[in-house]
Amino acid sequence: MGALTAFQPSASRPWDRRLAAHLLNRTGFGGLPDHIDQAVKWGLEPTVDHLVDFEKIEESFPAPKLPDPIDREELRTMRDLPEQERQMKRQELFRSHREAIEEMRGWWIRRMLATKRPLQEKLTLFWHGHFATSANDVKNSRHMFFQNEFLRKHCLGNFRDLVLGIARDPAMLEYLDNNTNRKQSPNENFARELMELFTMGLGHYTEQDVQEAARAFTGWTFRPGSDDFLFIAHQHDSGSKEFLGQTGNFDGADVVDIILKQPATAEFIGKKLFEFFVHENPGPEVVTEIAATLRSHDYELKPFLRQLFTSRLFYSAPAYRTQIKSPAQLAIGACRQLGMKINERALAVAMRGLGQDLLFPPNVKGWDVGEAWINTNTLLMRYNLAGFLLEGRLPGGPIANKPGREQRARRLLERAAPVHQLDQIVPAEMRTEPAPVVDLLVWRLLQTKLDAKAHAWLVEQATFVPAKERAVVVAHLIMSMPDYQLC
Amino acid sequence: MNEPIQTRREFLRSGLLFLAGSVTAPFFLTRTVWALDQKLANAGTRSIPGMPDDHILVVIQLGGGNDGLNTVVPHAMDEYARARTTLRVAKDSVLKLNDVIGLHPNLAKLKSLYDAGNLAVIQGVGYPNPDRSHFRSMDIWHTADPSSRTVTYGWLGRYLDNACPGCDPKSKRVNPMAGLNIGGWMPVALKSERGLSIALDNPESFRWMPLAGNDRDRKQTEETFEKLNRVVAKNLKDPQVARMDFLSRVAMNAQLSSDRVREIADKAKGNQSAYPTTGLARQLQQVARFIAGGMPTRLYYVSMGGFDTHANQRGQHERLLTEFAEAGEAFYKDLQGQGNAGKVLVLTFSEFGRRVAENASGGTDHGAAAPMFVFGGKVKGGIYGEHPRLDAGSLDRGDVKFHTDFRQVYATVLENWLGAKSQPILGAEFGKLKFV
Repeated sequence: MGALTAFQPSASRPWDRRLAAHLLNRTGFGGLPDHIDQAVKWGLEPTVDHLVDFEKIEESFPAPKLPDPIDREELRTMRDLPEQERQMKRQELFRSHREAIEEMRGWWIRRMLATKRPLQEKLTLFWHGHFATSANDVKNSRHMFFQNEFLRKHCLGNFRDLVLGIARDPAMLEYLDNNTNRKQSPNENFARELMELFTMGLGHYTEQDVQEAARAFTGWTFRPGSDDFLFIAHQHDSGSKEFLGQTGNFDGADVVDIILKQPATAEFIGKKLFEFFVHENPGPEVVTEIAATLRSHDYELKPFLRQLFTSRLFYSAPAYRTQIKSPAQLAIGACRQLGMKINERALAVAMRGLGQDLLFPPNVKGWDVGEAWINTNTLLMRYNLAGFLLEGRLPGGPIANKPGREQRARRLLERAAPVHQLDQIVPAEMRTEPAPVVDLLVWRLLQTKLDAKAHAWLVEQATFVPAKERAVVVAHLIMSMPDYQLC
Repeated sequence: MNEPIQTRREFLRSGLLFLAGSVTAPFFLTRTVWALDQKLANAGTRSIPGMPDDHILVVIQLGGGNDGLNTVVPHAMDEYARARTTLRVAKDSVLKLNDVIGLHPNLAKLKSLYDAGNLAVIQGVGYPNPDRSHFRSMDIWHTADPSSRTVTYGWLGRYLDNACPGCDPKSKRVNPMAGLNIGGWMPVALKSERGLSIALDNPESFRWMPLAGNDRDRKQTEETFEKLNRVVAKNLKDPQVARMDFLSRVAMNAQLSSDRVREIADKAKGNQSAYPTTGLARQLQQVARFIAGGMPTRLYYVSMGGFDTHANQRGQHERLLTEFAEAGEAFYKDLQGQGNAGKVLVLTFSEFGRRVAENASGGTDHGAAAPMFVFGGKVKGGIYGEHPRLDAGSLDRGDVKFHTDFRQVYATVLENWLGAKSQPILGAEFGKLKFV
């Protein structure tokens, strides 16, 4: 026991810039030097309070432009159109939603870059990966947007509200086919993933439980064209069900409540949050303690995460700089550090190349994290992201021979026109000497000390370039190191 | 300007690279297969331990759900003609393989492979409880696992993990290019736990890009890359050091693969067999070059899309079949010219076939079972399995029922071509076919 006991700064492990930087990395997309200094000044607990009580911080982002919903009248008119016109209308709708999805992806990235509530966006990203829903299958951009807003709204609320809300969310209802889950022909897709991926994990329920839970969710759907949850009573199976050892006339909400009472649920979701924020593979005693803490807070996430962010383990060696940045963490963080102005849609395409296409998780399990982010191709692409941001350069030949989608992506990247602010970040008077440039950029980009040899080597490199170009060259070299992949 | 180096900026940057210090090759080479045995490194495709000599597998993925019935046409079945009122292939234009079936006329180029005894047609391939979602069904083919939705590694990746050519599972030394996807993404099928596959769009983009002016000298760029990525791991129990060591190893694998890929691509540029100018042909030409160049790669993956023909299928599908057949034949001829046709087995698949009955838009909707093609110099050509029956009682919700599980085809390839035990890879024993 004691993993979640409070971290006590000491002479050997003081609350300093390194630990403050660590906190800002894990709870957001990385702090700039000013933020880090501010956090050091405030102290650990006030900083954590500032992060988790984010609703006190004023923030507004106008919603992206979305196609209008379709009312029943319109649907009927569409249905009566001659075949060819109907096809055209359908194509037109499809295109407008696809365009809106791309716009929305850019909008979210803009938000991640500029937010004053970093934890809110970080958690929205976490829940997007947890309740993974792909715009590949959910073509309605409105549904994708409202799901994103739902996750944002509840990201630090109660886990029960999240699960119940997602069970009534049109994007999820469509993605896991619950809109075709009817009394006469139950569809188990949602019920299965609810238990396997969203709450308990494999091994804590039977096939029978899946079937019974599916019955409880029959009739949970949405009206085509509209944005709202719809319960269709005559499609709902109101008979008695036997679920996880209990018998009753359960509906979906009852099933969720029964699931939340299972010890496996607090362990599963508590461990996943711990791994996202602290470190991978916590031992069984730690998991037990996390689960107990989460249950003691009755699945309220704010007090739970507050405790996590102030805990001893959060600042321990297994946690510090051991996380492989997700593509979002890498790309958003880099853009913030370099003060980038960049077409956000292009940045989304770059992130796709790194293996994380926002709004298009690979499957209902979400993204595999940690070392799974890295393969030979994605690592080279990560290093090339630095050259792209600093000089707009990308490897690869002419775009002519590529398939359509890749061609579009490439063109977006080539027209992205990224502009960095290294000239302001590293003032001219500092650039006359190589060492201060290296020191400043190592701190800004890595927030730690490089080992002495590597540091000396960087200084040596900086010596050979003219003062004017020192900052770009040094930043490029640092960002092409394994060190930069960690936070 | 006569100066060899055009700008001061470039000069200085080149100086930077030049002075970066030379890297001692043995350090990073110790972690790669080529270091195991220099002969192995030079032998190229010839001798990889744990592998039958010379055997290469090329997978062609036809994305979107290829219409099996209009690919291998059951010209003698009345139900076919009745179900395909506008889309049916005229009986007299079918390239007949026997009294029941024949190839679509646009597959003429593949028919010549069939006639030469090098192409196998496997009929009625699918799996139980067919899923009609593109994504899900594709995932099932990639993972060879119809029941779980959480399998991370593909059937080919698991093959590499289990029977990794040239490496001992306990050792950290790996051949990072045992599998290769043409295209910048990594298909699930090739994903391996130990990172034994690479993905590349083209050899030129699979490399680290230095800042402007520095790509003139490849050697210097490479040295800088190595300098940046060399991690002298001391205490692997330190979690941070362990991460750095992992990243460093992948970086070194990337570096070596990148070098190797471009070296081989350069060397094989002279190879100018006639290929059509289509996407699939371009990919297969790349594969042929790599094979000719002796790339230490056993599994290649290429793909073409567009088979999701819900509307106005006829013209589209004809074009797709032409592209497929022409590219396949050009590739095979190229391999024959190289003397490598007998070393290569080509497997083609699509995530599902299409509904027997055509729809009201001159297209077809998602279906289930469909035929597969396998070709190569050592393939026992011919027809495997009966054409599934098309009478209403024999269909599954209007779709063709499978009689051959696709994992039987995989098992056959794994055991009889790649020389691996299929059970640990596929999770069960599947009856093998006789096409190889």
